[in-house]
Amino acid sequence: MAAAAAKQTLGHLEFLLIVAILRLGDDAYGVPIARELDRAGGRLLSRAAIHVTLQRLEEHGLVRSALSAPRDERGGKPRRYYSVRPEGLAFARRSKDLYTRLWRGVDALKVPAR
Amino acid sequence: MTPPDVWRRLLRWSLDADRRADVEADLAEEFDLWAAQSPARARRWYRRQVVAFVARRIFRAPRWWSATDVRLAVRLARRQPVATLTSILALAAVIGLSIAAFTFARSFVFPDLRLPSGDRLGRVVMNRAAPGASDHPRPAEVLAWMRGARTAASIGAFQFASPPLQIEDGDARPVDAAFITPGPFARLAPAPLKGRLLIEADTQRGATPVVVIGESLWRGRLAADPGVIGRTIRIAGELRTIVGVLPAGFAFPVRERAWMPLSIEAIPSAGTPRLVVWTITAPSHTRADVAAEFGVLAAHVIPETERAGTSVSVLSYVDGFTGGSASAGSALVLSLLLVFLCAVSLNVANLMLARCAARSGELAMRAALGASRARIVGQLFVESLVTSGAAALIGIVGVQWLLGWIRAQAGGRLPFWLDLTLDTSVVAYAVLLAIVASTLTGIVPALRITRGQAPGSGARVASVALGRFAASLLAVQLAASLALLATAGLLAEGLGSFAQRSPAADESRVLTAVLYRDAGVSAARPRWGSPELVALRLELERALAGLPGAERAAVSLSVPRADKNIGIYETESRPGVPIRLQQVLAGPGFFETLSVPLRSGRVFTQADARPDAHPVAVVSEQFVTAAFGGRAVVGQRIREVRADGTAAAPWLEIVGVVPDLAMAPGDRTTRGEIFEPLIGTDFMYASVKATVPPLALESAMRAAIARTDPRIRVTDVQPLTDVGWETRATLRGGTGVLGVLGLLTLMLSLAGMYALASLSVTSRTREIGIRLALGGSARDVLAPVLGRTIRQLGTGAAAGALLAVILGRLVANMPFAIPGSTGVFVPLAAVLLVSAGLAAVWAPARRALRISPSDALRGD
Repeated sequence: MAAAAAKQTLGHLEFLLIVAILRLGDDAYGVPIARELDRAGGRLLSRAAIHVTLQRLEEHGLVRSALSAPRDERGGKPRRYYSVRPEGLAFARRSKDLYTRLWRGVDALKVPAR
Repeated sequence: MTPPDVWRRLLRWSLDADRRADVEADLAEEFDLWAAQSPARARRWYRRQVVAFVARRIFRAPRWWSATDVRLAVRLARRQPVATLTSILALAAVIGLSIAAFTFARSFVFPDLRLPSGDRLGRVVMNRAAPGASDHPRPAEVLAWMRGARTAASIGAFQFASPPLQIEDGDARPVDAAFITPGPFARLAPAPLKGRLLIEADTQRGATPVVVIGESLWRGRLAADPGVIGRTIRIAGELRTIVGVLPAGFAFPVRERAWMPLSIEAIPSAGTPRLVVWTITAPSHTRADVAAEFGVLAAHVIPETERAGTSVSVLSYVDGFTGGSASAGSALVLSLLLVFLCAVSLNVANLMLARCAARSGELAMRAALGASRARIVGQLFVESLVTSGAAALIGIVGVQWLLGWIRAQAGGRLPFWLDLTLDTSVVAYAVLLAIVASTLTGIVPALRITRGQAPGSGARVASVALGRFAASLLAVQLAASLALLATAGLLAEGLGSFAQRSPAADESRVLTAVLYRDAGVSAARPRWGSPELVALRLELERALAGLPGAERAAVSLSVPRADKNIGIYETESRPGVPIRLQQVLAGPGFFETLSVPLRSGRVFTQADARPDAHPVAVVSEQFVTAAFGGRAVVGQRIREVRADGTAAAPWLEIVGVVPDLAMAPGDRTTRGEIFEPLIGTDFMYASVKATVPPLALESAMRAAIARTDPRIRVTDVQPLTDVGWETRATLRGGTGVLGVLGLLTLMLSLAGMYALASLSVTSRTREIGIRLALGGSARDVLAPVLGRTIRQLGTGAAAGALLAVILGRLVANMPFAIPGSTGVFVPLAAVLLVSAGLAAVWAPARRALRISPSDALRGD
């Protein structure tokens, strides 16, 4: 928490993950989260990167997770559902504001279209 | 469908216990979603994810290394540039050689044929008991298999050809081509870029002769003509219509660029076609099943008398062409190189150990400050990893260049299964070798040096030298370097002898070519000297001599430096005394074409080259001196004998003497040259003496030969000065490789000797101090310190000399002309070795003598 708190904002993947969890609501476990990010980003993200980042967000107290009951279709294994804590939401807001502030005025510049 | 088991286990290992169940299930759930689209893609995706999880696990593990270690290693390397550079170069040479060998071996041991059902493709070979019988299947046998086999999904056959290909009025140049059975060929060939593949109708009697060509031929010789389909080209004198173009990269059966239809039924049973048969094993059967079934089917059509000793083998496709020796040979070479790598690594380990001995104070300090053994070993391992990593990088870059050079030299004539590219597997092999080298050069010395307690004083560190093993290794290396250097010297001498021109001949004006008349699908090969072949020789001589710009022309079975052909003879005046001679069959006009001056008598005339002519010979001056002491020999008789001394041919009357032509330069086992008239053959060298630059005659020469007989293949058209370049290249390559290896081994041996002597001096500093204090002489001081190293030098030199003599004998037996061992190179290399060895121990010896007794005693 200390490191994240010190910088007051989130890394890019951390920000994307919190937004994905918020969007998915009650269905936010590993598979839909990863697929949501793949869809939004237009490329396949490494699942290892996603799981490690989720774990770090949890350690920093920005998200919480809870295991579901064992599920037959997963060979008796549970799902880990994630939800965003208020601290996480606050961090995400600050990050979004930062991006918005930074972008302000950029449209007016002559940025070459690609 | 479930994810691959090995990868699932790896994933489980890489995950923390509290996350294992849910993350594993997440990945399995996604795997199912991917598998619904494509199982292969799902597996690829799963593997990639697991690799990422495993990588994270490894890099999150407690660090046994740090960036500081790398910085320290680089600093150390810069402080000791000679030792570092020696280690890097030696390791780079071995790693480079190993990965080059691996690149070749991969294509033989695990060939990727890149053909549909390529893994089930095999070549059918006959084993016939009759001596000299062909291992090619006969048409009747192939037909029996095609009609009755159930264990093979497809059976096809082809014949190699490299006929001259002529486009309109252009030059006739040979092309690698195959006559091939259309149906089975279509199962292997890719979709044509243009037109169609061969079809069965193309083989019907009266069908238009057709050809399918490769993209490289289309782009190269037909300038990518968009209207290529329907165009006619002349192949082996016959006009054929192009009906298809196949994409580049497809070169089945071996390296072919043009394919023509072959009908097995149309081959007359009396012919001796060299049919190559391939088969694709049916899915539920093995190659052994196919061989057994083919054996039974063939038995119905094999004559009763041959049946007992005949069987059928089905080899893997690549082994079918290499006889399996390539895969066995590759495995042997790879194993030897691995042993070589270990030997070189242990040597570098010795250097590292000597370096550690000098750093014992630093290591003791680190241990005292709390560094664990693992941490110190880790540091030394990183140091060696920097060395071997740099070596692997140099090795990879070198091999990349080497493979590019080989591909450029081969110019598309490599077999299609030979994949000479550096891909992930080659790089992975290089990384593996670098890790093996680092382990041997870093971890082994590090473990020894930190054994027991924390690293202590210099004396204790030095006493853990690799001991007897390192010393014996040193002797082996010294022996190897001496043998390699002496053999390189021998090859270099062989190369030098090839540079000698034949003093008798005016070579710069002569154009030569190899001519071979391909009997084709149906014709049996005519008998040597038959009227048909005599007529062919006469026609060729006339056609070649009539070329504009040609002064004389002749055919022969060899030209200077082309082939070695030795015969044993006896003279009538000294019967029973065998004499080894270079034997050359030369047509009339041979000596005149090569501008060979006549010393006495006469040269061959057309009358000598008739089948019923009185047998005559022309001999060289060296023979006259050796057998007759230089007396007049014209009119004397000589004949060829077998090894047991019985006559192998009738007496020949010597009619002329010429100077030596250096037919096989450097071969000191023969006593001269003998020339006999060439009567008629379907394989020969043609030589034309030109009044213009010789290569300017090439096109006219090819055209004239094609007009004489379109079935004649013309290859190796080159001026006489260039003949034997393959042998020269082999010798040059051999000299280079052996010389470089020999020097590297020598350099390493010297470094090893220096390391051992240094260690010895370091470990005995106190003892030396006491001896000097007590008035010991230089000899007393040095004997215990350097004695062992000097003894290794002596043992190595003796063993190396023996090995060099054996290697010299082996090299002299190789198929190209190499002089017999002259005995000069062994002592030369030995002197080099011993003086370099003494120089290597000189510095430690001087250090030992400069030890001040008071310092030595105070230092402890």
